Amino acid sequence: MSSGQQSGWVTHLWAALLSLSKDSRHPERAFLRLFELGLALVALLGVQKMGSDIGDHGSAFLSTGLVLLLLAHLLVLIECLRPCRLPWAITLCAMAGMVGVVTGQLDPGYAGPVLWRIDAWLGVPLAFLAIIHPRGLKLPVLSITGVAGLLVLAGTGQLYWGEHILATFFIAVQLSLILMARWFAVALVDEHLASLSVRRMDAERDRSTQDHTQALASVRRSMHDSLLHCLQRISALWHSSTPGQIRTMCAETREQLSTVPATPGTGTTSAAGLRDALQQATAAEPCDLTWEGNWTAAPPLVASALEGAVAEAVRNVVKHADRSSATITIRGSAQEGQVVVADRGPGFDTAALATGRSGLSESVLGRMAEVGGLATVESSPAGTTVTLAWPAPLPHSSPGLGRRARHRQSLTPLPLVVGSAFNVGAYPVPDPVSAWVAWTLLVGILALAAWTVRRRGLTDTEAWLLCVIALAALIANTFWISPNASTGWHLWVPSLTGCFMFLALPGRDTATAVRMTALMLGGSLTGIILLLGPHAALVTHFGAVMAVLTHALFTLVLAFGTAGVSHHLHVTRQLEAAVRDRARTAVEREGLWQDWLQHARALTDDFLAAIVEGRVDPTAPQTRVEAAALEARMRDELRLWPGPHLIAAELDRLRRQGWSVLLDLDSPSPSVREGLVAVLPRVPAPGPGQRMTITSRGNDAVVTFSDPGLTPAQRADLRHWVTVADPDFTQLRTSRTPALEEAT
Amino acid sequence: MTVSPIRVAVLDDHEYIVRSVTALARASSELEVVHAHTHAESFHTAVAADRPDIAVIDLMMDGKVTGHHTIARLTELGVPSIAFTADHRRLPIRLAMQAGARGLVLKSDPLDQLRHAVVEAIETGWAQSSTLAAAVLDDSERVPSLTPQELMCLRLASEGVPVKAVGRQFSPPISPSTVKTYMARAYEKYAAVGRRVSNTTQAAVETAGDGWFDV
Repeated sequence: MSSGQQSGWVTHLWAALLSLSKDSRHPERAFLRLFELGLALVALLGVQKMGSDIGDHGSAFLSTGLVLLLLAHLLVLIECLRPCRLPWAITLCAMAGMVGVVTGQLDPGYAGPVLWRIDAWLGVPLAFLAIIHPRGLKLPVLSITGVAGLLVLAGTGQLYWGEHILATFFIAVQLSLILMARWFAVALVDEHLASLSVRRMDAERDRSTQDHTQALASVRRSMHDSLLHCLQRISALWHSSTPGQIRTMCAETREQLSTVPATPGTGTTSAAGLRDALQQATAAEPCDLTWEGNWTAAPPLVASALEGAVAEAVRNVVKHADRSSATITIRGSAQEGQVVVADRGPGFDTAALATGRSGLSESVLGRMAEVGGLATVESSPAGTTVTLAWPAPLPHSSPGLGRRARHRQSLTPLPLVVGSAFNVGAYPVPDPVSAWVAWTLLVGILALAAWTVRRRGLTDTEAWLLCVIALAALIANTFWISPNASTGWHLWVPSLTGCFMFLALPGRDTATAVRMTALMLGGSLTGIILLLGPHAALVTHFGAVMAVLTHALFTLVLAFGTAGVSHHLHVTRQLEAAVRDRARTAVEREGLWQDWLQHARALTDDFLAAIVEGRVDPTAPQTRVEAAALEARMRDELRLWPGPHLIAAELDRLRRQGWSVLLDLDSPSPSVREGLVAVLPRVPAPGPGQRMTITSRGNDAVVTFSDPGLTPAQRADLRHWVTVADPDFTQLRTSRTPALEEAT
Repeated sequence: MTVSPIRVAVLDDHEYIVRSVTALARASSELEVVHAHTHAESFHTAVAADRPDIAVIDLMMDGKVTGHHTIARLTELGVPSIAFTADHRRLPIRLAMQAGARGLVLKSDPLDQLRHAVVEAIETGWAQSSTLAAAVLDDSERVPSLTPQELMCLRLASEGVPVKAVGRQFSPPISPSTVKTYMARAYEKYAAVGRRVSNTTQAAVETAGDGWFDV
């Protein structure tokens, strides 16, 4: 399965799980959902077990107590699945249940043995309060009630103290482990989010620059959709618009140039879904559209970006395809969606997209990028397909862990180590000395591994080594088990091997982690089957296999669930950021728009007015030539704007002189502009086939004349800047100032 | 017991930054700025004469990516350095790490991060200032190792030089088919780090974005 597909279903799963939660925007809260679902499962098992216990006792108090405890489990189950403010109800139910159980057993009429099952009775409510609602008085109150109940029953003298204190202790160990794991997972999600956001370099730019850039981008997009589109259609020789259609279009364009357009982005998806909105957005285009599918749950902001992007893609079909027809396929859910615009036109060069030579880059790619989506264009002689996907696929991310996550990972196994030490000390084993020696050895290795994790992370080889050591410990443990006695099993070994897995698995790629898990599970199961027989493996010692399985699953979910959580959070935050950005750029946008419209009107209004008023024939060759020249001029103006208009005017002069000019820079720096202002007036008339490319490197403008290069006569005026004179091309760099050259 | 402060050398082309770091160190008892320079040459002379415990180096000096050269020279002298940058492009960071930088601090990080990172680098031998810095470091590994020839082909083609003429800019000249081979190799290298490019323009945009043309 490819990583893309993998991230796809993982995201679906997480989206489904997290959507049940009220606030899933923060890693802490999002991760809680996972624990809630896990706890719900445990509560369900608890309900089943307690239900079978209730009828066994003669005491009404005891039975009522158990019923109340069962109710507390049910409430935990409900609260975990759908939070509805039940924590106090759970606490009170569990407390009352506890009181009932204790009172029932103190009743002189009670004849049965004294019972105390803190793990089965209070484990789930305590875990619920500790993990999901750790603040407030609920947890201490319930804990104190539990301990008080134990003390009262212990006072009767028939209860074995040590065992129950140990049971209480092990609940504490498990809770600490879960809390530490959550602490680790939050660091993982934070780091993953940071690595995703770093790929949006825009977000790291100075805020004001970013606002400015976005406002500029919105002007460029809008101009492309209106003015440039209009000029292009007039200039296109093969285009079959009638003079009447062209006049109407010019009148609309003049109208658009007279007022600042309303701020887009509030979004207006109708209940009928995206399809209706898109149909409205493209209704004016002379193009036969076939519609397939719909997307009813598109977020408003994404829908508004898609309206603009699809409208531009359709305009593109009208411009480039001789038969204007296209198929638009829409599909999507609340979490993702896709719109594909496919035509059978002659296609165009997608290479031109990257530098913005085509309007598609600003208008379609830019719109989608702004809301965290992605547009891809594939063009071939058979036709062009524009795919608009939201959200953009997750960028490549290395599975390695960052420093903070590693730091937390190295500490997470601590509760299990403490628990295993108590296991060795508290439970009778055949040979305590060798058990302590083995424990110390394994903990030593574990400490070394934890130190390495903390310092630099484990290499794959080291991680495999840890797994092999853990497996060897599990198999050795099987040797020590007396086949006949249940006391022979060293309970501490699976705990410690769990620690080993926890250090080895996170940070590996998925395939390696799964292989490691398979080795541990397969190895320990095979060991038990070979040494103790299939019956022991599957019946009497199945708990040992289950312990390894539980630790493995716990680790895998933690390590790889984070990717899903991160992606969900990333998408949510991106959308929020887009909404915030829109609001912030609105003011900046207004000012920029006013400036631009004034300038655009000054350059194009005469031409458009002449067509609208019928003073010129819109289909005449000279009108087409003028429209092409104006279109190129406006394109340059947009790329160089804001700034002095000298360069665009100069480029316009050169184009009218016969030069084919490609301006390949956006909002150049002042020194690049200065260089161009110095060089361009000295460019001679072109020879046959000669073209000119303008780029920039650092503070210099680089001008390349190619196919063929300038002749010695042509470059006479430019000689001070020439860096390369080849028969096929001549290159200038503007940093070589003529004054300096002449002085030396 | 008083611990002597960590002796720090600072190199940044902006005097404002140099002074800010010095003031920051003065406010803490842990650090002491012993050399503060805005030019690489005077910095090297000062550091060679009186070695600091650690150096904080700006990666982008006067519009050029040169910090890694400074870091390499310091590494030879046995002085650890921390890269300090506002530039998140992949290549400058990758080069700094290859030159032996012991950590990365971003200029967009909170004020105290630089101090923490310096102390941590001295104590443990490695420091990065923040989660974002860690992510930037991770991302910098996605730079393909382009050879000077591949880079030159990409640069010239993106400037509008015809492919048939690119080869003649090499010394000795190479054939157009070799030029195409270099370009194809560059595309493959991008694909290998998970960034697919399918034509010269895209490759040139990626290459410029990484910071190759400023090195």
